[in-house]
Amino acid sequence: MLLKNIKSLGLQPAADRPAMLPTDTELIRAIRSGCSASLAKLYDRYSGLVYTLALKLLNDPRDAEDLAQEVFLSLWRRKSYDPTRGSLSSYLTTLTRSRAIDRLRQRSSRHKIRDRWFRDMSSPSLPTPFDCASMEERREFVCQALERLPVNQRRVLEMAYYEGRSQSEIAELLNAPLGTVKSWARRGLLNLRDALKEIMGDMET
Amino acid sequence: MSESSPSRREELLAGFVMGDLSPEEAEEFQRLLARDPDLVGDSDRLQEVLACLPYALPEEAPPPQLREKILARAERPRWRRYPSPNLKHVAGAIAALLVLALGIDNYRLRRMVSVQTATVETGTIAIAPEVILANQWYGLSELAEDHIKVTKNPKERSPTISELARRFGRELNLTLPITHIDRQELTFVDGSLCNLAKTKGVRLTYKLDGDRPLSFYQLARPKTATYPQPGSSRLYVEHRDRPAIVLWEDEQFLYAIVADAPQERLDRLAEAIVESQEKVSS
Repeated sequence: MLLKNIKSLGLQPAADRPAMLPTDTELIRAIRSGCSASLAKLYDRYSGLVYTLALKLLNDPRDAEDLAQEVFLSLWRRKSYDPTRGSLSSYLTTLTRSRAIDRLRQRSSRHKIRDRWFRDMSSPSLPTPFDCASMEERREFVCQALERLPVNQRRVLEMAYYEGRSQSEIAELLNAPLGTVKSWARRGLLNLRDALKEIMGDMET
Repeated sequence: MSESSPSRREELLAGFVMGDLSPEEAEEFQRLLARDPDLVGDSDRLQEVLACLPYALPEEAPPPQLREKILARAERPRWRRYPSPNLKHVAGAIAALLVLALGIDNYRLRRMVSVQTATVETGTIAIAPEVILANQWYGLSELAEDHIKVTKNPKERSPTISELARRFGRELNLTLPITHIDRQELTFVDGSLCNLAKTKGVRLTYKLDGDRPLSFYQLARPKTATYPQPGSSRLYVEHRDRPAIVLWEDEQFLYAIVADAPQERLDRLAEAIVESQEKVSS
């Protein structure tokens, strides 16, 4: 799967991320022992990603700022992220999205948005997916992979993920049967995984 | 059979990660989960793929002052966020409520106790939130959110016992043996009605060890068949970045204790509830 695949690629640290830079796991460890400088480093690494997603979902700069603050403080205070269970990047985006959707739901109870982003606690120890790639490379991988998806699959994934829309809302907006939307979403996710795999594979050769 | 084919497995996996499994598919997924332990790891990996999506967004820079703001707040002591509880309605009030409630319907309580005695013997199962989410039951998240909201902002005026009793009768439309957790390490803070997981009930809030907020919910059982049915066991659900939840049920109610505390601790509290119900009914 993706993670194993990335691991097997043995990507070298990118030019804009010198090998001396501490890894996410090292920074998390330092945070646990109360080192706020490490929090600052993680903030520098991920605040753009977290803030961008928060702004996309909430569409309000003040709310997005507030949420970004909540996410980083939660990383600091609650010590809930476990590096053996998934990448920090995925944890942060998942947490941001879940909290953003909580806020959207508070704003409007009309939209029943599913809460599906809690992570499993018993998953096996995994390497982090993009640890070996720079932020810029990560962006490029995902953009390229998305471009390979059929338009409908991509649109449904984007509406569900970036806009927090339920599939029935999407069906209505796209004027398509719910079953079709469901199938686009599932197929889209699986194709995204395969496309990422392929892109990483291309990089290797 | 189609359900064991690799493509069916992939489809269920994707549906699970997307959160769009139908109740029938959710059951199928759970069956699959029981005999295919790799499914958990695979769903994790697919979740990682989904969580990559924000990388495709054009990056927006956060406001420059945010960095300093976060670092300044990170260095402030944590517990200052929780105001001191307003301890007006304490044990006496709860005892009165209990007597009142017991007067309503002792028969139901007896049935509850017989179910819950079995609960103690069978113990608690620790379970991943996904297994419950696979059932498309959103009550877990609602419980966690409600707990956080209520214990963070205890500013609403606490209702009096007679108010509560009146509202229980009128709004819940069921005879409700209210129970509470009588333990030394818990200080009662407040009690009120709540509306969660598509059902009504009562929420009692406490402070654990004097400072940690804890909520105890007693909810009418949801009418939908998709909520988690722990049977005679209790379920312990540990979330990332959310308080933990212990959940159990009897014929009439769904119970939950929500707090940032380890399983053993919450489990002991749940047992204390069962024991107190046994004592009252004997």
